[in-house]
Amino acid sequence: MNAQFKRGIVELCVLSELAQVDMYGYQIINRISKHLDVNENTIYPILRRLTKEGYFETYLQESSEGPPRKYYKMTNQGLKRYLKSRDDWDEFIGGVYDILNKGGKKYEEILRKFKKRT
Amino acid sequence: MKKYLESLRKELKTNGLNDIDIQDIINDLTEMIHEAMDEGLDEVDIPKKFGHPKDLAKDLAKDETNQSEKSKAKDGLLFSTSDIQMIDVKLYNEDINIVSGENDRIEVYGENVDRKNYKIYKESHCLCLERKNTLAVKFRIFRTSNEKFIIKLPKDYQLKDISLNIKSSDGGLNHIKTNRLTIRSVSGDLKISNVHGEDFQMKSISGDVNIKNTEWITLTISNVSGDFDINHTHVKDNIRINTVSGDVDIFESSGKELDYNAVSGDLIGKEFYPESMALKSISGDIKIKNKDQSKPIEIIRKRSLSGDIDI
Repeated sequence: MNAQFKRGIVELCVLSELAQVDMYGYQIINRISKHLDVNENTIYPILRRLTKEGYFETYLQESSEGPPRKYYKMTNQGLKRYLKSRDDWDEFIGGVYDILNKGGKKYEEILRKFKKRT
Repeated sequence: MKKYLESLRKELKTNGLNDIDIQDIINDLTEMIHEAMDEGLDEVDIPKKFGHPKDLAKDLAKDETNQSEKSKAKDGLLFSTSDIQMIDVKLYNEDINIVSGENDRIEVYGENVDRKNYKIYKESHCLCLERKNTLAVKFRIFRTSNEKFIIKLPKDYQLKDISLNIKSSDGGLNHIKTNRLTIRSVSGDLKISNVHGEDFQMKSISGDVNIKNTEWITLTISNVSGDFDINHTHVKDNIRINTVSGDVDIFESSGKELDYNAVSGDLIGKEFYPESMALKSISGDIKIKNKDQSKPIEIIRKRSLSGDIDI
């Protein structure tokens, strides 16, 4: 998949994760790479950029396992951005599926339609 | 791990990041690598998981520069062009101002606007500025205030056509020359001053409109409930005004023939000297007060159901 496209998706996922609960960096990376086949090393730069753009704030919190961790907390602006991004995504992916489903929803249907023509 | 971080620090420096950002990034990476190694990540696999220092530094540096470009685009020049005869603006709630400036090119500036929501382009001799029609716009979820566009024209620049199609945007035109001016507005307030042209057509639902120091050949106003304030405006030919419940005030202005139709809006004229008038009103009052008796106004038609007419 196109790197730029993946980046946009990872951004949306980072926003979504932090819309639910405050998290530390490695936790975010783990939670996303568990579900998506993305290069883990693309997540931190995105997290950092979104923080710089004011969508997250950070604070330090002691951890029982070692040194304090830097937690990321979504701002109101971040939530707004998330809802907007999600809206854009829904609209986009909805459009994509409108196109794909015209040719059939299941493999059998697509194959059947294709075979009919040949 | 130490080697990895040292190497990353060097790469970040080469990519032009400042010391504060570099230290911040190193701290973040230290924390994350610690976590990963606690979970069993092998020292040699660090670059695989977090990216080779070179790539990671490049990636981070790109975002830093992207961001500064983005903030530049946020408050500043968005588009520059020349050889334009027409301007076509379609906006939703962003303020729009068209003014004359000092440069010899036509420039579009934005304040607090997200560039990706707009189309700004030149087509034949037309400069077009449009809000993209996204769902978020349709449902007005993300109405943020202070979004503003400014179109600057060279001084004394002569345009053929300006068309504004706006919903709740407030706007203004100042020191502009255009043959035609067409404005359709729903609820935005507009200020039009020092504009010279031939044909001015204005349709507005509920926005208030202020017109000052302008000259036209024909002026057509169609209005539902907004108030119109017309000052120092001179029209060579006809003035047509249709209003439902909005009031119209005309001060120190002139025209050839005024064709006025109103339901319940009032017309107040002071030092207003058209050569002739055709007036029709259901319940609105019409009052014209002129001092200069040497310029009599011919009344072609005067009809009102319940409003007072006093000239």
